[in-house]
Amino acid sequence: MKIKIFMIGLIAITISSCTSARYLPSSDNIDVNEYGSYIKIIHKTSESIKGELIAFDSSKIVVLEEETKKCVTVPITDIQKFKLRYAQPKHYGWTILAYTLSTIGHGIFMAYTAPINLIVTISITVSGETAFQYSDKNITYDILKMFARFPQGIPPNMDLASIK
Amino acid sequence: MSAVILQRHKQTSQTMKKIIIYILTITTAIFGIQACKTYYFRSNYKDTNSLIHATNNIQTKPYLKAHLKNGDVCILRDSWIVDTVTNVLTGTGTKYNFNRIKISEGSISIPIDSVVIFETNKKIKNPEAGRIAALSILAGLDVIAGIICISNPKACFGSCPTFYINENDNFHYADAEGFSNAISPSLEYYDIDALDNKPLFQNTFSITMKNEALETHCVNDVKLLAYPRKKGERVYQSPTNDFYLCENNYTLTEASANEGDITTLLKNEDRQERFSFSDENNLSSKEEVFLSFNNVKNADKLGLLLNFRQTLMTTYFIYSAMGYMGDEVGDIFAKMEMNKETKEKLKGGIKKELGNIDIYLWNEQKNEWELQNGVYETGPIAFNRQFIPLQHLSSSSKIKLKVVLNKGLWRIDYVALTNIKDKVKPIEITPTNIINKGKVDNTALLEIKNPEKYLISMPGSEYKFNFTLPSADTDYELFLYSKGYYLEWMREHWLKDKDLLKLKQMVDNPKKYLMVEAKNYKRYETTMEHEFWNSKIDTKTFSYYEN
Repeated sequence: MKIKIFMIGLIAITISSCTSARYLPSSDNIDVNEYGSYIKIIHKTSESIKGELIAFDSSKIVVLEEETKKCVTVPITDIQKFKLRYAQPKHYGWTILAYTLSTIGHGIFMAYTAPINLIVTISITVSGETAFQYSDKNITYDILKMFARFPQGIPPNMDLASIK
Repeated sequence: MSAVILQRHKQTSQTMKKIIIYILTITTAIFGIQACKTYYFRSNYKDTNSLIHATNNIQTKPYLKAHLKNGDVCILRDSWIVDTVTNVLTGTGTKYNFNRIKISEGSISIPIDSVVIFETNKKIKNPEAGRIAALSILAGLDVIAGIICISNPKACFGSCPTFYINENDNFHYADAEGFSNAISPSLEYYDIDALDNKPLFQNTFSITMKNEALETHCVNDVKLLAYPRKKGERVYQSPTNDFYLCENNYTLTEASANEGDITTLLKNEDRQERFSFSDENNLSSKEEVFLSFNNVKNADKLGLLLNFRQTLMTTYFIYSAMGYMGDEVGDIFAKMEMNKETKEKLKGGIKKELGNIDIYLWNEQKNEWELQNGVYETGPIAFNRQFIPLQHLSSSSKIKLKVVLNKGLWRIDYVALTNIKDKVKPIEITPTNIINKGKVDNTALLEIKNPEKYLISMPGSEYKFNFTLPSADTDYELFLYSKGYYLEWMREHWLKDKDLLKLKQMVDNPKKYLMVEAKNYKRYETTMEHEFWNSKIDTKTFSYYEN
């Protein structure tokens, strides 16, 4: 029982801790956001790259990496897959614990109500976390570039090192 | 009538199952669809013609982002205009440089030539509406379930170990309840319950023990007591745990109580019970029920059969006592364990005031009622089937009995007379194995067989005890022996009820407590009793009870 409660807590905390970039707008403000969307690129051979999508041209993606705050260029041939987030997700992880624990008050009916609460709240949490996202499965690179800070590509004569 | 009620219970159960399946299906479908759906809201235009063409017929213009060749961006509110004569885009908004530092805000005029891409976005309407609606519906259902359980705790929280011959039955059809009074280690005792089993045609028998309550059950022993029976014979247990082999049943001719004729309620084992509500001024008020048997062919060695269980009154007292203890419940139970005097007070307290179901036999010669014996068994769930041998019988075929019982405490299903053939001693049968979660649990078996050890059963636990009977060719009357104690879990909402003075009154002066508490109980009784006996989630295949 303790293990189960611990696991539920862990799932909730893990899901809730999937923080996203602060510069991403709320879903109400996607039309007034001046930055590019947040992209996570799974590289075929090296570590994954996460950060703001700066630009895309036919052969490479430029990302302002969140850790180094520097632009990196990734050839699309090296990309295994990517995920793009264009708005802040709503976190519902708290509901897993709160709703499931609330069924303690249901006594023997907890046997029915706890799993229902668990299934529904986990579904809602997962759906909340995965909202406002695209991946390589549902968008092409042509659509992807619309979510860059510079959808037109890197402006001429611009030094990538000057981009913050 | 019984069939109609059972049918209704079955329908309720099926409805519950359907609701659960519907909720799960709808939830899965909603989120499945949402997960698969890709919402495209952004459009890019490389020239003004396509921008104007795309936005011309829209009632409310979208905000416009103009990405400039040098990397700057202008975000214009919905009042922007493209002047195709002067080739200028004008509007109100904000301009950012390539590092997205705000350069200016307000009225903006941009030469079209400097714009490399126009961007528009459709607003996402109520993106959280589905999730919030689902959570609200779930919260609503949880609150309703919680309210039902708070107003009717027993319906949700069950009580002490419950035993089932048919493991799929719910607690309304429990075949036995173990040691209901043993709410702490020092109050441990053994309990023997008649299982009222069908004829047996094999030498194996199983019974499932469930913990359906928020309690920790510490079970020291579970075994069967068995005695062979032939066709027409039954074995009954008396309050002193003596066993009698009996034959012939004499059905009730007439029964009356304060409310009038109650013969139909008591004549058959049909779960149509006779009960009364408590006295609003005194919870220990007594009442009388009169029984007549007019067709007793053999008045020699008679005994009274009585099927009964309690209402929720004693449950109310246990829960109230826990509430009065509040956050000191642990300390008080510890003191109770250490202090024999407190234990004795508890034994002689409320239980003594409430009293037994006392049976009196009418003596024609002396023209008076003679006390025969009394029965008492705590627990509102399983029916107790007990037997009282009658003394000083005349040879008359008409037997008159009087039952004196506490008002609002007892539910009686059935009374009958039967002839005693012999006093017998059943054999004891220990479990052959115990099944826990579908697997043989040898540890549980060792714990049950070792008198020094306890099988600890937590809420939701189920243990199936398998027994091997001495002979496959013999039918046996079976009784369940269970020994142990249980620890009631404190509920958060009880803490606010802390009242040590009331607890003291309950223990030291139960007579007064039962008078003072009558009005509070009365409020609880009217709603709780009704809800409890109507909130049946039936998983049972009821054909067995129909037979």
